[in-house]
Amino acid sequence: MGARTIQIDAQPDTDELVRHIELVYPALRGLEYHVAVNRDIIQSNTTLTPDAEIALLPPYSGG
Amino acid sequence: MQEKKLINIFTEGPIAPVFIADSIAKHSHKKDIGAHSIFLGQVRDDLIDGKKVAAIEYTAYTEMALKQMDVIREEIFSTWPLTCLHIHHSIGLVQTGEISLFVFASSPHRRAAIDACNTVVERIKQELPVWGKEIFEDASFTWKKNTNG
Repeated sequence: MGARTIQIDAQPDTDELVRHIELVYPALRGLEYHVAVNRDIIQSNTTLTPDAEIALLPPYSGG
Repeated sequence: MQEKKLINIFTEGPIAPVFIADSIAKHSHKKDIGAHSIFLGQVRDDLIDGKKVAAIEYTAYTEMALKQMDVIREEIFSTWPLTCLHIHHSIGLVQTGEISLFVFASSPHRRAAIDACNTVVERIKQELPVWGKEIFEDASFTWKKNTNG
């Protein structure tokens, strides 16, 4: 396990994206993670542009 | 508008003690400094389920971490009258006993340096997309979980 970069079909918003990703990667279901869009954490469903950079971030443990 | 060039806080591998000493020496010419507050994070041989940690491997979502570090930096400078603030965080493998975090705050009087340094350490642990993979002596691993200290 570690960082992985993938390209997927454009999704209209983050709720749809999470639904899609968890279908393709069922191991993600039930795991705790934040969603970042273009390097900012989002707090609620967010509209996406086709070139958006989305990251799924598990709990941090730096420092 | 040109994108702001973000300071790179990441350094490959452990932070050498001599680097810390050199950093202190490099501030000697800043005569308005009256206090340095320094935090060093050292990798500990944590015992987890009977297994001892031998090293931590750090990874980061670098672009976002640097962006967030910049936000933190701006807020720290607008809260305290600091002369300087330097942050160094290891990336990659750091063995137990080695330094993986170096926060260095300087100010004319001690209160600002001490409080800013402490705040930076807490915010780094809470807000930067950085992860530590704790590698045990038997080469198995677990993912580090941060605590409140």
